[in-house]
Amino acid sequence: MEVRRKRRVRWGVWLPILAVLALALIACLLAVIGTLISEDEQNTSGGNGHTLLYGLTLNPSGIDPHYNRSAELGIPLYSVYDTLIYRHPQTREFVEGLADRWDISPDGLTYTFYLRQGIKFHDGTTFDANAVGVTFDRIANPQYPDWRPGKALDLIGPFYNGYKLVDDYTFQILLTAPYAPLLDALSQPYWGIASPTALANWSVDTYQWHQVGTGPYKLVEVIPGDRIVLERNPDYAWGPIFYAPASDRSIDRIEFRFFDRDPASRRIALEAGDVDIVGELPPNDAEALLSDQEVQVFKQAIPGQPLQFYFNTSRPLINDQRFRQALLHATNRAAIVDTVFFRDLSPVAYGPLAAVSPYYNPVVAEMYPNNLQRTRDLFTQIGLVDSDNDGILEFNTQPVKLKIAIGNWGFLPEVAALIQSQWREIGIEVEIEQVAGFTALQEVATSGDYDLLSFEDFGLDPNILNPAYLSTSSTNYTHYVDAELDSWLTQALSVDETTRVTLYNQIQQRIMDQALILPIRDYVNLIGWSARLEGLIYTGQGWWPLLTNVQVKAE
Amino acid sequence: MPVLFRHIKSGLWMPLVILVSLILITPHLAQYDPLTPTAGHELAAPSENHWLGTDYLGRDVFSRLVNGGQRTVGAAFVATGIAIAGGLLLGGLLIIAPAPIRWLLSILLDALLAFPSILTALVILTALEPSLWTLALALGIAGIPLYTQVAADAFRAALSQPFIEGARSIGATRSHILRRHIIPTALPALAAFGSVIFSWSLIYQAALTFLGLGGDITQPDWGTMLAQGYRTIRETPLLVIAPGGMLMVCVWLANWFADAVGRSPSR
Amino acid sequence: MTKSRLLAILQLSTAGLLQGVLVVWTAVTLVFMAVRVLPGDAISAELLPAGASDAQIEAEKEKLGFNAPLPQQYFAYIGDVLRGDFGQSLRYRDAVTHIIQDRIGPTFALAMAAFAVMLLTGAVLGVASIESSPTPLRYFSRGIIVFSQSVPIYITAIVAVFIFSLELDVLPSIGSDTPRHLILPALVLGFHTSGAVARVLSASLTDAFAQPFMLTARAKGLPPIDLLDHALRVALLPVLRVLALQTGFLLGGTVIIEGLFVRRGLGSLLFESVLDRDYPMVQALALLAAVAYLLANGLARLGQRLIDPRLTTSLADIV
Repeated sequence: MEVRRKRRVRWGVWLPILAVLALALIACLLAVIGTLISEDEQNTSGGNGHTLLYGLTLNPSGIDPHYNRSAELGIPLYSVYDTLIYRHPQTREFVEGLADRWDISPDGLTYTFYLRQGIKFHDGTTFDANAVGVTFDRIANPQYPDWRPGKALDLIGPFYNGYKLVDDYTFQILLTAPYAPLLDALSQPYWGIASPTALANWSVDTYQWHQVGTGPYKLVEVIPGDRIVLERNPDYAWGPIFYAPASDRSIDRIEFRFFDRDPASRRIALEAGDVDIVGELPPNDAEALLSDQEVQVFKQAIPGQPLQFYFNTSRPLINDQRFRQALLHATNRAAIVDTVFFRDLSPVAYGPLAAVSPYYNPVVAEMYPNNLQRTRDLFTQIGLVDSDNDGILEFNTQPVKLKIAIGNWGFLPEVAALIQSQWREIGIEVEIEQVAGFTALQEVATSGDYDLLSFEDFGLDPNILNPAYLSTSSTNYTHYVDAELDSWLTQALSVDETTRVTLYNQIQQRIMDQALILPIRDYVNLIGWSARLEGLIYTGQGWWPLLTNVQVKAE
Repeated sequence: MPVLFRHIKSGLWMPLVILVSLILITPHLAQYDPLTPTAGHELAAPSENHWLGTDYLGRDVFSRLVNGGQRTVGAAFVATGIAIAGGLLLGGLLIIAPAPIRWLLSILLDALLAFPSILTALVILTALEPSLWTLALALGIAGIPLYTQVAADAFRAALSQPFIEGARSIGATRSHILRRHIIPTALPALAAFGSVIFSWSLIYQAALTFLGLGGDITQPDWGTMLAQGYRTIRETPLLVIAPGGMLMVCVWLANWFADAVGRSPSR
Repeated sequence: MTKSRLLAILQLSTAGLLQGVLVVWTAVTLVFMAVRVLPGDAISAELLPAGASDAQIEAEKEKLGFNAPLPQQYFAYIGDVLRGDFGQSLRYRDAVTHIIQDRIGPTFALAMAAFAVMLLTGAVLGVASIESSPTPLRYFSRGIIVFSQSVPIYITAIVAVFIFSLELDVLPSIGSDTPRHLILPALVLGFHTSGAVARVLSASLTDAFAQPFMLTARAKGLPPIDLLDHALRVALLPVLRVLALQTGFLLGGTVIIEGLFVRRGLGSLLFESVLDRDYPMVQALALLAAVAYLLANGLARLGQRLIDPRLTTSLADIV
C-alpha cells in the first residue's frame, strides 16, 4: 500500500509539468509546421531566381501612394507604377514616361499629355487616357466616392481645375493659374497611374494591399508592417530612358522588410548577409562598413529641407529677431555635425534648403558664423543679463529657459543634447522634450508648446517651403507672419523660371535674415548594400531607388 | 518599531545601507559635469583623465555613472514606493472590506493583473510628458496589482496563524495583535516582494528608455546610458558594461535583501 | 474518493469559468475606459499634417462612431466584441482581426518556445542555487540569475547575434520565416524571464526542505528521489503561480525582441499602435493579452489543485 501511494503522488507532481511541457512542445511544433508551409508557398516564383531583400527604415502608416504621405512608401512603389513623365536622376530634366510628349499652352493653364499606346497594367487591362482620369479623380476630385486628401493632392497644387479627355490617348490638365511645380509633382510616385479595374475591385482602404500599376515590378504580397513583395513584370517594355534593360542578372523578386525599430540591427543584418540593401545607417556603422569587403556604402544626398529646428516666434523672447540671430551665432553646427554625423558623411546646413536642392541660395552659408562675441552683443542689446550670477541669463528678471521638442529618431536627441550644452555656455538653459513616435511630435507641434521644434520635408521643388512658411498654413510651425514673404511664396508658384530663381533667393535670404530656423545638417542617406550587387542609383528626389537598374554582379 | 530594531541588529538592512550610501556618496567622486561634452573627445578609451572613457557625445562616462545612480535608484525607489503604498492599501482592503466589496475588488484585481505591466506602463506614458519621473510613476502604477496580490496573500497567511486566535483569546488588543503578530508575520513576504518590484522597475526603466520613452538623453541615468551605449557596443563595450554592471550590483543587493528578510528570525 | 475529487474540480472549474467571464468583462471595460482617457487619436494624427480642416476630421470621426455618447459607444463596443468584431485599425485601415491574424502565429510560437526555455533554464538554475547545493555552484547560478534579471534584454540579444549570426554564422540575425529564426529570440527571451522562476523555485525548495515533514521523511530513510518528490509537491505551488505571472512578462518581452530581430508579431504591433494612437488595435491586443494571461493563470490554478488536493477542498468550501 505504501508503494502504491507513492507512485500516485509522484504522478500528481509531474503531471502539470509534463502537461505544460507537452503543450509548449505541441505549440512549437504547430508553429514550425505552419511556418514551413508558408515558406513553401513563397518559394514558387519563376525566372532566373535572383532575389533581393531590401530593408525599409520606416513603417509607413499606410502604403496607398495617392493618400499616404511618407517618402518611404516610394521606395517599393516607384517600381510598381509609371508616372506620366519622369525626372532624370542625373540631369533632373523631365523625360517621357507614360506620356511620350507633352505641351503647355502659352498661358500656362493647359497641359496636354500625349500618351503611349500598347501599355498594359499588371492585371492585363489596357492603359489609356481614361485610366489616367480615374487616378486623377481618386486623388483630386472631392466628388469622387473614393476621394481622400493626401500628399498627392498637396503636390498638384491650389490651381488644379480638373482634366479633359481629348481622345483615348490624349489627356489634358486644366489649371486656374500657372503652376510651375506641376511637372515635378506628376513625376513623383504619389502620382503613379493605377489600374481602374483594380481600383474598382478594392475599397478606398484595401486597394493599398492590392495595388496594380504599369511599372517594372508587380506588387504580389503585402503583410502590413511585415513585408512587401515585388516580382518582375516580364512584359515591361516602356520604361523611361534611364531604366536599364532587363537582363539575366536583373532582380526577379524583391522583398521589403522593416528595420524601423532598431537602427543598430541594420549593420549587423548587412554583415550577416541577411539583408541586401538597407538605408539610414547610423554614421558610426556606415564608417565601420567602409572597410568591409562584403558591403558597399552609398551616400545619397537628399534635396529638400535640412535637419532643422523651427523657432516658435509666437513665444516671448523668441519673437525677437535679434535673439534668434544670437542663438544661431551661438551654435557651433560644424562641431555638432562632426560629433554626431561625421563631416565626411554629412554636410553642415545653412539655410531652409539643402545645398543639393535646386534654387539653393549660397549666400546663407556666410550669414551666421559661430561667433560668441556677436551673441553676447546681441544679448546685451536685448537686455539679457545674469543679475544673480548663477550662469543663467535673465530676461525681465525671469531666467531664460527654452524648450526644444524633438522625436526620438534620426540622432535628434544627440543634436539637442549638444545644442543644450553649447547654449548653456552663453547662459541659456534648454529643456528637451523628447517624445516617442511621429504622432506624439505632431501633437506637440499642434499644441504650440515649444520654443524650437524639429520637422522637415523633402522634395526637389522649393514649393515645399510654402506649407512651412506661409502665414496661413496649418503647418507653419514658426508662427511667423510676414505679408511680403507670403506674397513671394505665392508668386513663386506661378512665374517663369528666372523670376522663380530671384524669388526663391529672396525667400531663403528673408527666412535666414529673420532667423526663423536653426539649420543643422543636410540630409544624406547612408545606404549599405551587398557587394554582390551593382547598379544601385536613386532618383533626383533622393529617397527612391531605381530597382530595375540593380543587378547581380557578373561572376 | 521593536521589530525593525531586531532587523538592524541582525544585519538584515545591510544591502539597503550599501545601496543608499552608494548613491549618496558616489556623486562626489565625479570629476566632470555629467552633462558637458568635450568636443573632439568622443568615444575616448579609458585614461587617467576619463577613468571609464567618454561616450558618443564626449561626456565623461564615470561622472555620468556615479551621478546617474542617484536618479536611477531614486526612480526605482519611487516606483517601488508607489507600488507598495497602492498594494498595501488595496491588499488591506481585500482582507478587511465586507464580502461583496472584497469580491468585486478581487475581480478588478484579476482584470488588472491580466494586462502585461509593460502595456500598462506604455499606456500611462503616452498620456504624460516623458521623463524619468513619469516613467517611475508609470512603473509604480503598473506594479500596484502585482503588489496587491502579494500583500493580500501575506495578510491572509498571517491571519490564519493559530497564535492569532490564541492572542485574541487571552484578550490582546487589536493594535497589539496587528503590531506584534500580523505585521511581523507578513513583513518578510512584503519586504521581499518590495525588493522584487525594485529590481523589476530598474530593468523596465532600461527597457522603456530603449524604446524611446525615457525622456531626454542628456540626463544621466543607467537606463539611458545603456540604451545609448548599445549603439556602439562593438566599438566601446565599456559604455554598456559600466551601467550594466551597476544594475547588476543593485539587483544583487535587492536579491540579497529579499533572501535575508525571507530568512529573518521573525518568520 | 477520486470521483468526488474530480467532481469538486469540475465544480470549481465552472465557478472559475464564471468568474473568468466576469474578469474578462471587467478587463474589456477597463480597456474601453483607458482608451477614452488617452490623448489624441490616429485620425487627427493622419489628417492634421495633411492640412485637413477640423470639419473634415470631425466628419471622419463621426463616420467611425467616435462622436457618439459614451454609453452608446460602450454598448456598441461590447456587442462588437461579443461578435468577434474589433473594428477597423485607424492606422492600417483594415479590420483589426485581419491584421492580428497575420501576426499572431509568430508571436505565439516565440512565446511558447521562450516559455519552454524559461522553464528549463529556471528549473536548472533554481535547483542549482538552493541552500544545500555546493557553494561554488550556488554562487555561480545565483550570479547567472542576477545577470538574467538585471541586464537589459537588448544587450544579450545583440551579443547573441554577434556570436551566432556573425562569428559562427549558424543562425539568421533577422526575420521570422522559419523555425531557425525562432531559436535566438526564444533563447534570449526565455533566459531573461527565467531568473524570477529560478529564484522562486530555489526559495520554495529551500523552504520545503526545512519543513518538519521533510525531517520526518529523511529520518525514515526515504531515497533522495522521494525526498525531492515530497519537497517539490510543496515547492511547486508558488512556482506555478510565478509561471503564470511570467506569461505577462513574456508578452512584454516580445515588444522589444520583435523589433530587434525584425520579426513579425503582436509585440511590435502593440508598441506601434500605442505610439500611433491606433486605439481599436490597442483595445484588441490588450484584450488578447489579458485572455492569454487568464488562460495561463487558470492552467496554473488547475495545476496547483492537482498537486495539492487540500486546495481543492478548501476552495470548494468557499464556492
